[in-house]
Amino acid sequence: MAEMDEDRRRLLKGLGAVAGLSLGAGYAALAPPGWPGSLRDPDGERGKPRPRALRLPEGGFAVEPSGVLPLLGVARGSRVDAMLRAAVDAIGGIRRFVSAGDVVLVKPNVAFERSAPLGATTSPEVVAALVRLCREAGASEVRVADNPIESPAACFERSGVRKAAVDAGARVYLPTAADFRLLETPGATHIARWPFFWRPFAGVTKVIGVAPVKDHNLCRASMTTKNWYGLLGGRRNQLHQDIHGIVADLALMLRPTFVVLDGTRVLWRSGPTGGSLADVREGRTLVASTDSLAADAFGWDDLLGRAGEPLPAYFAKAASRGLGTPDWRSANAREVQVG
Amino acid sequence: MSGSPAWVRAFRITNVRVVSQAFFLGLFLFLLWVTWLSRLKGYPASLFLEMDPLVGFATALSTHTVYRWLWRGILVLVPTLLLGRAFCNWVCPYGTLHQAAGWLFDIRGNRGRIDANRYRPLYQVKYLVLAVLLVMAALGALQIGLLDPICLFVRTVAVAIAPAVDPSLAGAADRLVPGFGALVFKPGAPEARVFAGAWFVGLLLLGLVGANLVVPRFFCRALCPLGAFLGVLSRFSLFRIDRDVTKCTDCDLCLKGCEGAADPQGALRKSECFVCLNCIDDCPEDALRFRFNPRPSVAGLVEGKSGPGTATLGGLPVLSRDLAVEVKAPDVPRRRWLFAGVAGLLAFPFLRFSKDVNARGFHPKAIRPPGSVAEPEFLERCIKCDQCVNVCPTNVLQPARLAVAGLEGLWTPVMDFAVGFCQLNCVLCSEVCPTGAIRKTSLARKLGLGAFAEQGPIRIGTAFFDRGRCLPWAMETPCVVCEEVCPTTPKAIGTYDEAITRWDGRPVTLNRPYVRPELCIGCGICQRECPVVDDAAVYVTAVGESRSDERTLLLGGKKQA
Amino acid sequence: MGAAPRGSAPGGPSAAERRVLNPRPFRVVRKEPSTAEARAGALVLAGLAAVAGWVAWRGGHPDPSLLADPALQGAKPVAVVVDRGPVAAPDVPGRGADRGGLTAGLAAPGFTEGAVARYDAENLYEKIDGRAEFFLSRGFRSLTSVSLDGPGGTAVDVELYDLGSPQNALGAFAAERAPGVKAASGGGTSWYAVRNALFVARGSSYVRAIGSDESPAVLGQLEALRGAFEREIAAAPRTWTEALFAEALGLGPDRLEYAAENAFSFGFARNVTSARLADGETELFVAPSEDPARAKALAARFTEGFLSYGEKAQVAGVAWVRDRYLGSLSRAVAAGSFVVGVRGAPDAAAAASAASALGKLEKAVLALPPEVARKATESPAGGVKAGSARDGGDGGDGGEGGDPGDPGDGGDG
Repeated sequence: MAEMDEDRRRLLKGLGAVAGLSLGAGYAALAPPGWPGSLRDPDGERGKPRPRALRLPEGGFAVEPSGVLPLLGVARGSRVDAMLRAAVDAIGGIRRFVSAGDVVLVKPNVAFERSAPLGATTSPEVVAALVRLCREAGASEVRVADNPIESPAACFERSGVRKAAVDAGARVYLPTAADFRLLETPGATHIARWPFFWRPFAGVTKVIGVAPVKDHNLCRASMTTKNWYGLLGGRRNQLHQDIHGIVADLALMLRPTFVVLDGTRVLWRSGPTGGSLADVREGRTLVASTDSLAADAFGWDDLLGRAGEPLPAYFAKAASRGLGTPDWRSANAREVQVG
Repeated sequence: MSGSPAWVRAFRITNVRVVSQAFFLGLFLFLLWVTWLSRLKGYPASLFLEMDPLVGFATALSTHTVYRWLWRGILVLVPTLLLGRAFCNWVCPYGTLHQAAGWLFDIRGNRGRIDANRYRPLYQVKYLVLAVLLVMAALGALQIGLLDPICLFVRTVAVAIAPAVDPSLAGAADRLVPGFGALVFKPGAPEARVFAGAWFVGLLLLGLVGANLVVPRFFCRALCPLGAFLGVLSRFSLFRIDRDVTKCTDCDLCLKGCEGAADPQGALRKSECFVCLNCIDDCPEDALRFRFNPRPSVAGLVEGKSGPGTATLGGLPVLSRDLAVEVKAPDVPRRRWLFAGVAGLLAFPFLRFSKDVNARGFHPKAIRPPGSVAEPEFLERCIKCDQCVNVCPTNVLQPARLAVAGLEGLWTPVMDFAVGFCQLNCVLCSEVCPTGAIRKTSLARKLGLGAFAEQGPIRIGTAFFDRGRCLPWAMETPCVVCEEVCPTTPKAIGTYDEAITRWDGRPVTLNRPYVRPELCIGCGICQRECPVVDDAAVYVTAVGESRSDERTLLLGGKKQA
Repeated sequence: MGAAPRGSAPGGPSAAERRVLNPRPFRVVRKEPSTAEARAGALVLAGLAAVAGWVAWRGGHPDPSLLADPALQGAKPVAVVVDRGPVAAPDVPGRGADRGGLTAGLAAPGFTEGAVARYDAENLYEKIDGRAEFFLSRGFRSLTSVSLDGPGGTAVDVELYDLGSPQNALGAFAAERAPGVKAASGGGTSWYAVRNALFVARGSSYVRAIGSDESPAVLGQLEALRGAFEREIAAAPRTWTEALFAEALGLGPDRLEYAAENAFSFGFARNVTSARLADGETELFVAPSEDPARAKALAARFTEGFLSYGEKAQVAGVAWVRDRYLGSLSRAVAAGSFVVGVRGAPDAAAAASAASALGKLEKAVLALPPEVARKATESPAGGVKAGSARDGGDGGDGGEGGDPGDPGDGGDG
């Protein structure tokens, strides 16, 4: 009798295991897709990856526009700290833009592994001055980030930007594969959904672009607007098929708190890579502006010395979207001579 | 345990050995970890390769010179002559890896261990491997890197382990413990690093480590050419394990932890002993000691008949039945040495007359890093350690596949511009190369500036356009990424600018690119950045490289003497 | 097994076999390590430490040639100066610093004069961070400041701003004056005192003197200062706008506000003088232009500007623009080569009275002699020219690329 019981128990256990596993497998495979625990995917739609797209805050990182203050602050001189301060003061002073507790992202152009004097990258001195300025204004954290064309570590090292930024108290973010997310930019022509170097943006409240003045083989000049290219990932090399449309898209994608145009060294030919001191001339100028188009137009006319030539097409494209005014002469510009 | 003070117990020699192994494995990984632009500073990144005496000896055979830091091999050579193959169980990081794996996954009991650690004739193979490799090296085909443990381990870390570890360190691990992401091997690499044949290098590691489950220290005992080299040398060593036949009861417990399978229970095989000293710990009779200048034989000193209880040595009864205490030389019969030598003699032409490594019919994609010496010398020097591949910031340097470089060039560095490009201001590969296959090259030399202005820049190849695939040439579509990124000044890529009317009636200005061969250095950034990503419309091949007169492209492009 | 263990007794494992079957395989069975062994071990550990030390030392001594950039040899790179120290001499106290417009003997009895400090556009922020822009946009040339220490720990801080032109001085003066505070003017001086502070505009200077309290000593010192400034600072001749508003509408110079550029937040509006009417809200303004045609265009732009915040409205048969948000009324018309207008009339009644004032202003403008009209179009001297690429007073070194005619710069690239 006891033996029968044991046999039966064993049989029941076995049956239970078979039935449980069969039912479980059957449920997971056949239950309608909406049911909990169902894995059913009749047409392959459920299995498609759906990358989550991010959006930057509405209106970007811009501060309240001011009707009174100049749009463009131009400081001439050779001492970058004083120049930067004067240029920013001209558009309202750093406290207009950065308040205590802000997390500020400073975006230099470090696209190539070039020593700073070759003018292909933002001057480390200017980056450092900007970081100090933000910290003085009470920023709780200042980050410096770029996704260069050449190897990031090497670019940041040789350009001197890493050291300058770190010494001035910033954190440097070098891009790694995991740092990119899909960014949605409603209204953009080409980059409405594009991989974006998001990691340094996590928690950021203010974004300041700081770009050198460079000749550019394709879009003719690379300044503060083109600078945002360094936040994109993915197949950037396709973007050159409509570079002006892309630069206009960039202006739409990122509305900065303000931008600084680094006209200390001007790469006036062989851009955007340069590589010879003969390609660089002294600019002795820093420009701060809440309007990157105005700043770039100033750079085109004044720093690249191409006032006689029509502006590259991206100015008009971006301006027609209401992203700024390339007509810096009739916009409000203030110029200060510093030392 | 009583008697000896705590510090003596703590500094028990086997404890110290474990510390030493951990230290050198840590140092080894650290040095590979700093092999990266932002960390390199002055670290001797290739220290282990440089102090690998087999690297020094074999390159001396092939080149008749000792390059740069390779004298450091003496740092291992001299201790070996004094102590025996201590390197294998005190320093060698690859040996430590195998020992640790064997220890961790061991399921044997004592008896199984004792059996697993007996000497087997299979362990001769490493000597034959060594002989073949050295004969080939002497003829000019340096192949020690295929199996040299340091080369093998450096290559494995660079090509397989670092790329495998980095994403999880940067991702999941960093989320669990913030800051872990800073530990990645390659910080600031914008894309995951990929390597040709990483699967094979990685699986080889798994296979060799897995072999420890069957035969403990399989690689070290059976395959390692460096171990064989040191084993041959250790016949001269002044120290060895010595067995006291008056104490030894032939219990074989000493075999329990014997790493080298060196027969400490009988006649010690000096060439096999790793000097791990486990046998001393395991001997219940204190019959084993690590002694200076021990007697090579005690048989002549034994008085009386060897047998139960009758023989004595120095007045003490001889307990062990085995009176032999030492085997000096490796257990390889002379005819087998001969076979190995002949095999090496024959293997050399087999490898060398494979087409791709020769001046005639060289492979167009075997693009060597800047500073590389001409191909025949390169093959005399390159040990396939892939430190250059490890330090390369753009991932362009790849271990060559069989299809590109044959077996002789397998795992030697070549550039793959689909993956990366040669960064203009970078000469790191030449800095870390331990053997001078990539000779130390200053940036001024690479770029042809300053004192090198007359020689011009180092060219590693030449760019060509495939007009059938180029957007402006073939598809009425604007694009000049190649010109934008071209780093020379003036640019080596120019454009013919042309305004045309497209098929759909829209006007468009095309900048149609062309190469200025006098300016092109073959850096390949144009190919890397070309939007036609699968088979780029601009591509670099090795022709025009300045390291070789045979491979010039332009009249007057010969390299300066 | 190489040798059979001896001494095995039937019926159980021998001692040797028991050892082999040791259930704790990691246990070390050897008796004691010797001191010599431990010494050797310690020596090895010391060796490891030495290796670690050497590697660390090597790491700290990189080969400088590795990061040297040969592209920088041969030519002189552009110098970018990082110098965060104070701006050289002028603001160092007590070294006979340039006193600017501050005359000697400012201290009233019982007060002693402290060090004089001078600031220029470059370092103004050091003195008045955050407020610097206010003055920089008003033609700022220099700030001279001095502290007067009085009895009982009192003090008066004096700041004299040289703003380059009377318009700028009056503009700053008017802009800093709180609404409802009455100013006095006469003899070329406009001034007002609020509790412990005195504000004076005279000539092209604007002075702020702020006392530490309202004690009689401080107020006395302030009064003495006003006298000193009236004596020592050259009064400017009456500007044409002063004359215009005084004669047409009887508004004193202290009512006038002047914007060299960006008036009313309009980028195009430059050189605009405005005066607030008695209601404190309605402003009348005048802006010169080169000729009547351009004046018409400018007036249209003003109207357009107003329209961007509002829509057209008719009040008593006159075309106005009603602000969408405030409901206030504004308009601008051309008068000769000038534009005159009303801004911010709060309601229809105010607009009606402003319209009559505007009529008077229009008439007065049309009556201005032509040379006044011509001069008026020039920005006041010393102000930073709006929209100009470069400061007029600064030589040519601001950027060699600035000249579009420079043949070397433009086309290449």
